[in-house]
Amino acid sequence: MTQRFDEGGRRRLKWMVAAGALASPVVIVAALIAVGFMEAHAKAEGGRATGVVFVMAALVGYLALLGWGAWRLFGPRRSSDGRVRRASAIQVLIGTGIASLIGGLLAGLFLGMTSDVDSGGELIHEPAFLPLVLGMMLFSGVATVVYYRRLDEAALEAHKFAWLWGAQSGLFVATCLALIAFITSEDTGTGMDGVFFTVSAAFIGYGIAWGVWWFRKR
Amino acid sequence: VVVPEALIRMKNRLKVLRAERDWSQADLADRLDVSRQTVNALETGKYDPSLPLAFKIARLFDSRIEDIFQDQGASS
Repeated sequence: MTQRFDEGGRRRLKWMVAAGALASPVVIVAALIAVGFMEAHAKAEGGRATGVVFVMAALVGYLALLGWGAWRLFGPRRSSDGRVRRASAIQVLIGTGIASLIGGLLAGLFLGMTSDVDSGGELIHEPAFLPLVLGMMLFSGVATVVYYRRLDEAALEAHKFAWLWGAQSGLFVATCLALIAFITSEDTGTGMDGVFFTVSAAFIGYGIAWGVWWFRKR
Repeated sequence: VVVPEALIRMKNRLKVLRAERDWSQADLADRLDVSRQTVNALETGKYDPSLPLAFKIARLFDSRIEDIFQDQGASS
């Protein structure tokens, strides 16, 4: 799906790029505060502290990668016939996947090289893990919104249908299986907390979205 | 027999109008800012367009909406 850019579209694009550029320092500061806090915590606990310089270098590299990805998502493209086009929804999806893969690989490489843990599972406790994951979640969240806004109405209907019937059915089956496991198992903690949390979060999210929809239609 | 509104299928002349102009589905999709898959779903009657998209289609073919789309209940 392509779309021509009118004057309003170009103005919105500039605002989006500007907002992204302004948001980056906020993310950097938040990440550094988080890393500093966790470093101090690790020292107080007598644990091994990851070098702050390495963490900062990784963050700068990681944010540069995010910035590049955001520019690829938001940046204008000009086709052979001279018309300015935006990336299609599928291009956004593929670009996000590739950027996430590269970002995840770099983050894993960095964590593996700067820590002396014995297994990959322990990397989750490394100070740099939280800001890296938060950054990736932020990037994925923004990319999801961009992807959603570039879908046409039939594709949106397909997603709504899939979420209503597919996702709800999956949630129902998972709840039934967890209930069966809970009833038949002697271990009372058999996944019920996780299922209860997930179902509750889904219903709360549903209620909020339902309320917002009607509030905007008043 | 009262047919539920959701089950009423719309017929349309999109394919004919497109063929008259010698446009491919991709050409029409580009002019409507939708995907080619959406144009195909419209032409085969598997998907009914929203009112804004229906007006856009009507403007593109310089016709009225009811000249392009007809619900089967009205025609029978």
